[in-house]
Amino acid sequence: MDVKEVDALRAARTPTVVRFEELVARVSQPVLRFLLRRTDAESAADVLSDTLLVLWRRLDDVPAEAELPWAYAVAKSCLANHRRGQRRHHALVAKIILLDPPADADPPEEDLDLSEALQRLPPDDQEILRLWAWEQLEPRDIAAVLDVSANVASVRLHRAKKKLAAALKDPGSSRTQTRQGKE
Amino acid sequence: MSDGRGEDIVDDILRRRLAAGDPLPPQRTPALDRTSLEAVMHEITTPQAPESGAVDAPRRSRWWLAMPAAAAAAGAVWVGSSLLGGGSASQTPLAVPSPKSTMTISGPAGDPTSMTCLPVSVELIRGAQFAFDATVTAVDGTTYTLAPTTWFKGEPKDVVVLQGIPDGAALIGIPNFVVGGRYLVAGGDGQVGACGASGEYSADLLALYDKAFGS
Repeated sequence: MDVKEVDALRAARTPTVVRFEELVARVSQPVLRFLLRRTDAESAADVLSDTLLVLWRRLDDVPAEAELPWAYAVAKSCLANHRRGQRRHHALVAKIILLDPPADADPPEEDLDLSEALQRLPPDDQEILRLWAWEQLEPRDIAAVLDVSANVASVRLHRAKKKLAAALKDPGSSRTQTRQGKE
Repeated sequence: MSDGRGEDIVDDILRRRLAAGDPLPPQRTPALDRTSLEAVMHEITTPQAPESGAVDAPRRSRWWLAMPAAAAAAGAVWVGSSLLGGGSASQTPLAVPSPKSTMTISGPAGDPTSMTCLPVSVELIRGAQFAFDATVTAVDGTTYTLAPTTWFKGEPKDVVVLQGIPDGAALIGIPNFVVGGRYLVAGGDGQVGACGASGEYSADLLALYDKAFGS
């Protein structure tokens, strides 16, 4: 395909391509953040490409009322595949490049009590709390990411919050496997 | 026991506190390089020519049939023999089937959401191990019974049983089989070919089969 053909294709973008581009414009940055909170930058960029590929192929299935949770769910699945070493056979030639944030951006203040309490919870509880607080999702959308019913998501979130509150109140507690080497 | 409002307030405080510990607040989030993002989107949305794709771009998929990496390694999804370097001698259509012979084939292995397609071509269809024209006579759950009328390639059978069509098969061009519908089906390794290799009977697809297998 020569340059002219590529230009012609760009000029003749179909409504479907336009729809995809608009979707990507809405979800790519939040999905990138979702991934960067859970993996390193290089993997996040690769998994974002995989995620966009799935979104393109499943464009008609993306629910208009919950496109971001749906995209998170796809990204979560692509990340799991990535971690299992199942990179897509059709890895794209083009790579997404990430631009560094401003060097002077202040790091968030570490809330040690909270992060330690969070670490002591089971992974599923940690994840649902992150979806709630970091991705700012409500139970209905958390349900879409975790592929469970809204009721189940609600109950799990409620329990996770209770566990976190308890862990905060009683830092020494646990049957937990606290990190070794801590004072 | 706190009332609902009290619980909401506690929730709100907890959420804010957790959010404050987000390791990636907006100001520390890397931005997406727009040019590279557009290049990826362009690659995703641009159909790839089969010949150039197969020869010139080793990192791209070479599939004209949907094929995830793991399945490819295991040979789980049928691809045209021309891609695998195999290939059986072509065979002219027809032949009378032996009585009540049956062939069972399955849908493509793997998750259609993790597969992709390249446009089907005469050369790739020619690599099919079987190809026939058939009508669906029965559906039982996800098992379809087909009655072939013409065999373009492969050992003719009276009946073909197709089972295990995965959810989302339409994503990779597997036709929606319905009773009474007429289909052209090509495939190999016991699997129905995806990505346009099989489809509802049409003059266009028939012309492709004729070119691939015709005398």
